[in-house]
Amino acid sequence: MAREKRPDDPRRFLDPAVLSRVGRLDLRARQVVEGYLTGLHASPFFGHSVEFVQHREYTPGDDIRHLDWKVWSKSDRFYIKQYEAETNLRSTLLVDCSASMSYGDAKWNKREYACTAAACLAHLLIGQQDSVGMMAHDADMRQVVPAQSSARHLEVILGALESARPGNATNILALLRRAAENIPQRGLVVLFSDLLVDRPALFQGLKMLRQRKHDVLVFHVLDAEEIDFDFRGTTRFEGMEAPDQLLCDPQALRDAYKEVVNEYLTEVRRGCTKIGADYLLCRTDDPLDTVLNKYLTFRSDPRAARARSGSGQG
Amino acid sequence: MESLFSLFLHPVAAIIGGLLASLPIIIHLIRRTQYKRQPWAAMEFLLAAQRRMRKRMVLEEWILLALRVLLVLLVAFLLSRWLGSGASGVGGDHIVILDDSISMADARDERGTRKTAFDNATAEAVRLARKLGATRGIHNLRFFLLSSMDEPVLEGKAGEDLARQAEEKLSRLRPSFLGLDPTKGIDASVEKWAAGGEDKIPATGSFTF
Repeated sequence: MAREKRPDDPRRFLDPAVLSRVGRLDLRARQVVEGYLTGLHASPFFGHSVEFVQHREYTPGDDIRHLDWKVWSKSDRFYIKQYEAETNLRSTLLVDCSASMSYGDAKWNKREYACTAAACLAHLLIGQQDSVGMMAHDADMRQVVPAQSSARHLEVILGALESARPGNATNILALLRRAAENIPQRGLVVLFSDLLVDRPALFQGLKMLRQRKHDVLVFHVLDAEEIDFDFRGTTRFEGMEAPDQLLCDPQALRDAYKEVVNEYLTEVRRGCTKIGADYLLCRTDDPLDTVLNKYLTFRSDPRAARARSGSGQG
Repeated sequence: MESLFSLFLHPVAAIIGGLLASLPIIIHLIRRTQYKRQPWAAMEFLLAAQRRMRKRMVLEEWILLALRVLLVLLVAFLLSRWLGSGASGVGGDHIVILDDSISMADARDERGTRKTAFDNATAEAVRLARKLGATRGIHNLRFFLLSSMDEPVLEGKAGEDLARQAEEKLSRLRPSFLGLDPTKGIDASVEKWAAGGEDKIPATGSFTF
């Protein structure tokens, strides 16, 4: 449902109903981000800055300048002090461009939502001098943009997102494996997908990313109709990625359908949590600030980040 | 089939109604050929939901279809009875035969008055005229004496007027001294019924009471 906003309110661009009327992706992203309060983020790496994070036992080769002499005086052991460093974050946006992502209105569907959310994050990250890469995929990689942090790089990412058209079915395992292999440094991997894929393959792929010490954010994009199933009259549903068809009375199936969807959402959420990936369900009628909020919350809680880095490593 | 339709006062309406009962089935089949197409991404969930609900949906569809058919049949049956007894007037002609044989002169005391069997028969005939007048539709009554089946003693539309006339006229009649065969009267009335198209032959007389 569209929120009532003043015409001059910059946050009005967070509303999908308003965004759907803005044709250009770069304009959408700029307006969303400028309308939103941006925040600083912390690096996933331990460096040497002002905020203490933890002690680590001294090992030969460590710089003795970082030895904590107070601990030595009390315990007669050498410990290194570790701090949280504010360094450039390396992020990779994985955007699902499979056929199922084109479900919805022609001007505002899952793909549009995912691309706009990805563009907003890219805008936000590059504005903070972080490097951002992008991979658009269906069964195969369609667009690959290496991570950079220059202002002009945003145009490259937005251009790649604009040109990524819906294709075939998703091969999520192959995609995540390739992403895990191709991203050289540990960083943040953000997946935008409807996750209408084989769940074991999805979890296996996410696990690969976590095993390579990446922080993983999953934005699960679904159309409101796919959750509410608010159809009437005899309808023949035709699969967008498979040749399946079903002629039925949707009202008779609604309760069972919603039950199945809820089970699926629970399975995906639990699977992601178990692996240590942050998960957020986004309906295409949700305002874009849910995505930005999730990202900023994710980055602003280092303790949660450490907890994540400790989980899902098996 | 013939005996089935003889149950209705208007069998044509029953036949038409029976045919109309097939309409829900035809509509059901037509609706299955008229549908909208919807591209759908989450077919996995839809097929899973359909697998869960298949038995229940089929059962519900059959029950719904059966109820619709039964409803139309019920309306048709009710209409066929109502039309028959009302607008058409078919089946509303009755012949009443009063047995005036000598045996009907047999008298006995009833509540202090002495009444013959013929008195009882005429009283019953009057009650019949009044009763038919109170029922729905047009009922024509003809009263005959068993001894003279050529001409009716009285005829007219059932109702209070005819009942009063019958009360007045029939009460003046007395049983004859003849020994009469009731079957001849029935045969004669069947002939009249066959000639006149009446479909109902009620008779009063010593063989009825």
